[in-house]
Amino acid sequence: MQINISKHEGAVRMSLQGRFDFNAHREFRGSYDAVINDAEVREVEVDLGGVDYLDSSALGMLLLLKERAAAAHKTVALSNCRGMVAQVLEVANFNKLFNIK
Amino acid sequence: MHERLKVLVVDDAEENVTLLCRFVERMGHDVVVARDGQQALDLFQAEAPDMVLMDVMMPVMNGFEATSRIKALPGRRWVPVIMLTALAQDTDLAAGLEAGADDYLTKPINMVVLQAKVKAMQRIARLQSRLAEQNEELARYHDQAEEERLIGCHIMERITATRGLDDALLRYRIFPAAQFSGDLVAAARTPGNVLHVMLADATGHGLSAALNVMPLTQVFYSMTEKGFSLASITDELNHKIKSMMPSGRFVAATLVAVNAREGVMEVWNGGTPEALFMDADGRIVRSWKSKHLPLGILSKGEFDPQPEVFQHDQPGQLFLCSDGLSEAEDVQGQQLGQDSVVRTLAAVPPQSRFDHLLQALHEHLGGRQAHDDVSMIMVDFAKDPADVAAAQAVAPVGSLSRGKPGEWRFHASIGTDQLKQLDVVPLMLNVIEQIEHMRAHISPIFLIVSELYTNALDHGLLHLDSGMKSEPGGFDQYMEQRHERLQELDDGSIELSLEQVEIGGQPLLRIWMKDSGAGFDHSAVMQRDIAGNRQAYGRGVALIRSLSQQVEYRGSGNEVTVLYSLAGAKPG
Repeated sequence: MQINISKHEGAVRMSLQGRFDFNAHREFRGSYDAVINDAEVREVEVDLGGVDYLDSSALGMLLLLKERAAAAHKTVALSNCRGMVAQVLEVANFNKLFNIK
Repeated sequence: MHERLKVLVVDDAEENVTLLCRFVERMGHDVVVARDGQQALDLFQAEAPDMVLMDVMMPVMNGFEATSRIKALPGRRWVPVIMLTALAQDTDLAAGLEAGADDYLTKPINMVVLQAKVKAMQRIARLQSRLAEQNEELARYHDQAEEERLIGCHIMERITATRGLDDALLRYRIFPAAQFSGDLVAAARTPGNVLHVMLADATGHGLSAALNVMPLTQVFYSMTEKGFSLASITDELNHKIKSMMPSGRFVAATLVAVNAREGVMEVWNGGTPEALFMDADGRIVRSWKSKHLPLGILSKGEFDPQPEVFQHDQPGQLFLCSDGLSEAEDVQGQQLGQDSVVRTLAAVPPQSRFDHLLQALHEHLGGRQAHDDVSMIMVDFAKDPADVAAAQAVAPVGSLSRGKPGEWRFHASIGTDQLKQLDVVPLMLNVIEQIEHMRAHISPIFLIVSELYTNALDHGLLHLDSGMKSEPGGFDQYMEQRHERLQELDDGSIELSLEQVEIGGQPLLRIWMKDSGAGFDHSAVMQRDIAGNRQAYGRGVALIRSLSQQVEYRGSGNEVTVLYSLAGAKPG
């Protein structure tokens, strides 16, 4: 899975491309670690528009991100959720945890 | 680098042999000589050289044959063979390498080149031997892992006890994607004979996922057996996962309580596919989409364990499955799909549905394995007011001890806050269960105390009208009102005591309950219960009377004493 990071005005967007599954663990963690430690950042937006596959491991990774972000007083939002991604998030009722744009 | 090698020199020409021996010895190595291919083969096995210098043209057996035979010998050590070919004979060269030679030298042999090649071969030999060592180590790890896997399987089987799943009303199947399944199915009955069913799907699959679901079974079985409500169990399961598992690990689950006696189903779905209730004609009468976050994410207080309640008089089947089922792919990568699952079930009569679906899944997969754990469970449902089968006291083998009267008394007062929160009946009966000779009677006592408690709470304190339940749409209304009034209750309490007594030489359990309400018209309730059912045993006060020796209401009906005979239990 590829991750592109762009930053503007205290918000960081992590744009994910490809399969978001167990194998993406290191990549994802590595990407957000830097973001979490950045004091200027207040919101982390995870752009899932380019993700074609999302499983429960990915949901777990999002939960971890939320936890780390909350500890650093940052918010997490999910954006561009389509197709399978939107479906999986809906069944898991993740809208109760995340701001889904 | 300055290893002393044993080199096997193979040549039929004397001058070549002498030359080669001199070269090899000058390099600081030892020599063994063979004059033909056969000798080479024999000496190779007898002397175990580290390297072979092999001529091509020889009597008895030529160099190609000898090389190929030597290379074919069993043994883990790699021994390089350098072919000695006549000048610029490409065919010899190619044939040599084909036969298994690792390199070649053209005659006349050049000492410098020979030395360089020997050193190169030594380097490769060292690499080969490291590789062989690593392979051995890998094999050892593999054996160890295999043994651990077997033990894991053994433990898993014991922990995820399947006895409750042997229920006559259930069909279930799990197809794990790997050795260990992250999906779990469990079933057990409460002392009141309510069937609890759970289908759980942990993050990921394999051993780490299976480890996530293991704690669930203990909680599910022990709380069900004690008679806790589905909501209490769901709450505790969430708490357990949340506190035991690392963040990011959660368990999607559907929990169901089926009360055949009252014709009521409770369903809680957090993160699994829609649960379905299908009637005899294949129509979906009711379905329950995932409305909650999976277990293990929210903390107690944030988490909502309340199931949806559905009352239904007609028979049908409840179907639960994990997402592995609808996502199962065929050879072309097409998913089975939820619609297809529903159509498959609806296409045949109820008794054939489960097998028909298994067949369809098998065909869809085309003999391959699904990439995710697949699990499914089907529960037959039919309202049966006489479903008190489990309420017969069952004597444990070899025990008819009765204990002495006056030996114990248990009293509890439950205040307003506790009434709203606690699963009172199982908590109290848990105490009784500790008394050995009481265990045989737990089931009927549970039913009696539950009914008394429900009457005291619903009628005595909340002033609900149970007649509402039998009207069309009345059941949901009743449940809503009950929920509202319980939340609003600001002053109410229930007292309960259980005591073993002896009357007329008979051992009896005296059950006493009193609520702080104004009382209810118990005789009127009794009449309605009889009028409403062909079998009066199913409900309320009539049920209590059928299980006990004597029922006596006092005062305005807010106080009741029930005498239950401990005189003998039916053999189990």
